[in-house]
Amino acid sequence: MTDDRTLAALDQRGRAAAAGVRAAVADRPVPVLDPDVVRIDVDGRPEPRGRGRRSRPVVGLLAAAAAVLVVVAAVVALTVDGDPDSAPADQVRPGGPLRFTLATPPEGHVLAGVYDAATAPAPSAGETTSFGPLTVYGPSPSTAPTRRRR
Amino acid sequence: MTTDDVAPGGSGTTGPPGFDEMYRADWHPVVALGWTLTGSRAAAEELAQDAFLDAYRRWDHVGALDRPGAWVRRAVANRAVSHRRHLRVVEAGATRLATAARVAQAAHDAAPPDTDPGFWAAVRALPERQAQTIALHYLEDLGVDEIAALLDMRASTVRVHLSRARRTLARTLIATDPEEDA
Repeated sequence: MTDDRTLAALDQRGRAAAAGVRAAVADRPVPVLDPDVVRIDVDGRPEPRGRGRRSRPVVGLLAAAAAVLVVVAAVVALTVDGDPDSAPADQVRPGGPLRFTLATPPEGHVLAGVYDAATAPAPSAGETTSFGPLTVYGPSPSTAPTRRRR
Repeated sequence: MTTDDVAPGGSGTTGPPGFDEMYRADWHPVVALGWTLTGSRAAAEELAQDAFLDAYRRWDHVGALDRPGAWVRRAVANRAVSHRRHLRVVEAGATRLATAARVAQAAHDAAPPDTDPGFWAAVRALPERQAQTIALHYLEDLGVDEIAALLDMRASTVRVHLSRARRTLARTLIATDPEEDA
């Protein structure tokens, strides 16, 4: 433990040391203070509490938001560009396979029905159906655009 | 700016009312405080310049305070803490680069023997708040309440810091007389 005499000796030494410092700093005149000088503040004024740490969560939140946007964009892109047959009928995408559309029948013919070649055996021209003789029209299979089948 | 740019009898600025008087009156005490807390006169003068420049640029606020000089002292005391932390990093890096001797010399420059550098080195070895309070206590002969107001701390906290600092310094610096112990 430190007693009073030890503390008194410390105070005496401290005051003597302080007097020495005060005398030492007084040997130089007060310098000119140029308020226009641009100083590079290495140590920096301590910032208000928390300001320095506050930017890190903001950056993290921005990064997380960007990541979410990327994931959402990827999901949307996969959904839109996935199965062309499942895409909305009112969407037309350049370069994609054309959906089947009903054209105007040739003169003298009446559209009696439609047939999906992908789900039923291909009929042959002249075959008689319940609607009458079958007439097949449309682009020639050799010149028609290739359609992807599943 | 360097201290070679001296202006006999004044700061040389044409600052707002009250600033020049405060600058001239408080320059030396503020440098003394920075010197004792950093161990370097050059660093202390740089810190003082920065603090006074800050005060100049926000004089609307600082000049309205009861004691603008206290604001500058607190700024220097806080900057000295930052400087010490910065110096520790520099010294650690310098050690790795085998230039510790040069850094150590720069950090303890121009310490005249009559300032008792051993005493101030022991002060700087104290925890930061204790070093600030004990330096203000001895350098400017400030009491607990004045230090508390200056450092924006509670008086009871300052009293604890001062007590612990004095006991630590006494154990470190004041040799015990063997005859008294017997």
